[in-house]
Amino acid sequence: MRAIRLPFSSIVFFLILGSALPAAAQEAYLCVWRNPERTMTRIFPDARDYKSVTARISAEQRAVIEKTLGYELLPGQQDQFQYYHMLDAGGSAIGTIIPSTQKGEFGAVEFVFGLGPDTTIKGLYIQRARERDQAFKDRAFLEQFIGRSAADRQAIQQVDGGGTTPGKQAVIRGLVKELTTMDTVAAAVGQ
Amino acid sequence: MKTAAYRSNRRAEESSICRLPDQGTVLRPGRKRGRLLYAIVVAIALMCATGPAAECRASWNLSLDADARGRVASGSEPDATLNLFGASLRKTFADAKGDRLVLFALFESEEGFDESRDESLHEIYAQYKGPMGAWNITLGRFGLPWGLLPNFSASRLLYDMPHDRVLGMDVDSGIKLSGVQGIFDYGLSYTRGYGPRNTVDAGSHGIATGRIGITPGETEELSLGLSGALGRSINAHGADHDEPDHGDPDHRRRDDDRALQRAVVGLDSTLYLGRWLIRSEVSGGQVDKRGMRAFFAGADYALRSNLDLNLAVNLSRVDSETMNEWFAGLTCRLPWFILRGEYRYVGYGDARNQITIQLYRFFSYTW
Repeated sequence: MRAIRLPFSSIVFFLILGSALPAAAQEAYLCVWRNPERTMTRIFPDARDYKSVTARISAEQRAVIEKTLGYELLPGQQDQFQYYHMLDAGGSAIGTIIPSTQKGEFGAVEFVFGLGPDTTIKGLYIQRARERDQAFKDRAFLEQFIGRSAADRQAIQQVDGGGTTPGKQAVIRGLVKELTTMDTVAAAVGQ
Repeated sequence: MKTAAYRSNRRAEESSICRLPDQGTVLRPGRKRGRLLYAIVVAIALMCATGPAAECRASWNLSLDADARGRVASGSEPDATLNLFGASLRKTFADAKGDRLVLFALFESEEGFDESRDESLHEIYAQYKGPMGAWNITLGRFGLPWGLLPNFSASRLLYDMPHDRVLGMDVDSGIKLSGVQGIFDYGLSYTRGYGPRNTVDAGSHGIATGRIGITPGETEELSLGLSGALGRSINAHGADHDEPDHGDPDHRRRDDDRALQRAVVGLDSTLYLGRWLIRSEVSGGQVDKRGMRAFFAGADYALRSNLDLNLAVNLSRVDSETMNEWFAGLTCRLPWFILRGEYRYVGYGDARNQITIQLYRFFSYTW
């Protein structure tokens, strides 16, 4: 077997990737939202544009979030939180869109939900999932979250008995996680 | 993996490579139009920084990825290489009314098992965003609006897609109009036809490419697309196979660096069906005045939360010449890396059976 050819630049970069960067930066549960505008329009039909916001999660904020949740945040979600301000024709905020990725039984369950100016849930749509049981995509299940807010964490966790399938459990867990994170991060920036 | 003629052409080019004195960016001779392209992108960014949107905020995203591969192929010795390193930088500017300008650059350094090295600024573009993504204007070097490309790329995977045979490339330099309107999405571009290598050679280039897609339903489990391309573009980009030689004196090796006339159409689909993710793309038309048909299908099945079964087939036929590749493999998502293994059967050329192992790492950071 021929020896591995290691160009110097490749060695340098691979060492950098392997040593200097935390495991939390691995892409395992970064949310990759493929066609955001389509779902944005469903939740906020009056929106005329949107602005991306990437908020840093400090170590202290992460501790608060994880203490509230009772578990650690997933890799890729521990130090940054991304959401979108939905804007009307005049540039005023009319709501917030939050994409979420949560671990399911057979990979990531990706979904999107919107918060109105009163921080209650306005809509929720599943984006990508490869679960065996697809009941978590039913509107009857998803609409149980409409009108809920971060203050209703316990009530959300009791929806559908806490989730009778892995897909439903992923949606509930992800929703509570994102609401808690948004609540903590938004409070810090005074939003 | 590159063909012998492609590698030979690249070595000839590298002997006269010129480098920008301060950036070390590799350009080929006759790169004035390329430099002009980059200057336009930078100018757009400066206009945003100093114009009416000067109060805009900007967010950055840095992504790095690299993979190492080992291969055992019939008729050749086992081999291993650090195959690819990629680095991308994305910057989003927002004004008072929303996200407005996106700047993106992707650099790739790729080394094949044949010791050839390919480095390129694979993508670099400025995208001006219209309200709610209804329309976007992209200027620079970008992914073409064709088939599965807008939403999927096999560039980091172990199997191949037939875009090098259908279009000659998967990225090109020019201008693109794209957007989303309800359940429809669209893209229309006019590009130079040189691909990412920017080779200035004999013959005129210029190709129009377009795609219209539909994603019905709230859960977006099914997406369909119709694509078309008309114009002239290079022959080879990332061609990774040896062309069959039928002893025909008129036979043209499709790894030659020439402009080919293309008139092709295609259909694509993406379907989430339970634990299956199935992608397919079929293309047909005329390439270099020869009938061309191509078919790709890939299926991923979730065995466990971190383990997928991958299947793929890549077929193409030009006149009576058929090329076929069949893939079966596994993808395992480890805490630090993604580990992939693949068996490939090549239905032409010498290396009929290949087994490849890949260790892939990806990192993304936004601030």
